[in-house]
Amino acid sequence: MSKVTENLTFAVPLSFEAHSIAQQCCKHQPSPQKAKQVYLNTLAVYAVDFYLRCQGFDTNWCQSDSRNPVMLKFIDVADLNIKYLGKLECRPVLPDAEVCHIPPDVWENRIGYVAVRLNQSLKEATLLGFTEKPAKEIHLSQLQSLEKFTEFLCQKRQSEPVNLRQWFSGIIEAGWQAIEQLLSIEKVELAYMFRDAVNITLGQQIDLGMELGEQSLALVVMLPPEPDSEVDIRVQVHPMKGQTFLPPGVKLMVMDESGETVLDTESREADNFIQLHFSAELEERFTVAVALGETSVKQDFVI
Amino acid sequence: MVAPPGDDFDRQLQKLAIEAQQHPPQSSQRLQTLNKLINEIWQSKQLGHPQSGLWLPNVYEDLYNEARQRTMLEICQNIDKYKPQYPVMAWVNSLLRYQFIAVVNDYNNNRIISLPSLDDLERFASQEDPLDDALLVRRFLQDDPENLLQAESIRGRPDVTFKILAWARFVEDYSWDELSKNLGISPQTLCSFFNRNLRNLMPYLNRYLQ
Repeated sequence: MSKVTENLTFAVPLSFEAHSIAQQCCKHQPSPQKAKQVYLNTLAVYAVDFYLRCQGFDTNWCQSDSRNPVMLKFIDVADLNIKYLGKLECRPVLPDAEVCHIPPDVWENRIGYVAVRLNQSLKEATLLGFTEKPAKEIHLSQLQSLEKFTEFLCQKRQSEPVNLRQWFSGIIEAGWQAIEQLLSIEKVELAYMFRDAVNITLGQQIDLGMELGEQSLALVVMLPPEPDSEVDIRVQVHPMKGQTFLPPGVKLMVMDESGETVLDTESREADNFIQLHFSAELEERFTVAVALGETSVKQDFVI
Repeated sequence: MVAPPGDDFDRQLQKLAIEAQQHPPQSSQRLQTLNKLINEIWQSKQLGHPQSGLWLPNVYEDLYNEARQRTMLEICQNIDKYKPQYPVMAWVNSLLRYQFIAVVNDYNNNRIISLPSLDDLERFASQEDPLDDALLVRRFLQDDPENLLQAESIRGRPDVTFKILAWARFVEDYSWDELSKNLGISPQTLCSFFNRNLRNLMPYLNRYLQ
């Protein structure tokens, strides 16, 4: 059997935790058929919730309609709220089924629909794929792959602006860390050449995929210690630990809210790092992009 | 899939683990690599079965699944703690041993629940005596004690209210498709109206149906 051509799937074992939540939710349903539907829906949401938690997403199942006993009586719902991203619908697919059914109850307010295959013993759930557009039924072969699903979610997550103003009060989004963890000591000193001892400086690893081979880059953002009505911002791109120079041709750009490039620079042969320096007013939004060849990574910020 | 011979398999797992570590946290590449790594780990013939002689097989399966699941979460969250000088399966099996003990502690005897299969499910669900609940909903819809269920209707159709739709769906058991045909309104419009009202009426429903 060739694994290369198969789509990626993810199997979640269903045991005491999954079934006890399902048993809780199916209580007080007005008919055995409805109770069965709620039970299967709950297992499907459980599997997707587990998958997303494995992948570092912040889910909020308890606040979702699929955990609201009154809501469950009236609509066929299997939703899962993901913090900052929106609602996913998680539809159970029976062992022999070839299509995923999506009832009209849940055609609104969803960022996507995930199909979850349950096995006959209900001891395993397998995430099969997803679709962004609902339809009464979708053939399983028409689903987008789980690879696409992770890309879709990561893109959504990245499109949330990083709130720099919160950095002043010490609230830092996941993925940003002290630059000592990202860069070699010499690089840290280079980065700090431009700052006062008390600046706020954080970095994030960025992935330009195949373009860079083994090498990784870090995006570093520096803020003054206190917010002012105008905030002085430096953004830098460094090679990560173990590397001295940036590859030539790495572009760093700052775009304004309309997407217009307002500043840009590019690494030459043997550059240790590149930097842009600008100021932004409070509440202003901007985007930083790092690009090499055909690949680019963008991050939105708000100050 | 035929499990590859030991050394190759170890190397393949190690390659995936290191690759996952190298991708930035929260990148789709790391997510996909972790997914592949987990899939390979469960195929492994070297996966341990802690305490397997101590439990009845049916209880063991569920305890093991719960422990396996917690181990998956731990692998994904702590992939950066994996040290490449050790085989991946040695790391996984030590996590699994600890998680198994934790599961046994959490679910010792009295909290072990029975897990119905798909075939048992309807019978299992009907033990709950749904008749009382059905009656409660039916009475509530009929009485509408605070007279709020007919406050709104679909634009241009004063005959189509939340009360009418809820009654048709839950007492008379019509599907949205059937209602759509009968009323000449699309299922989307009906559901959209119904869901919006359901949300607005939630405090009222909670007072009488919980």
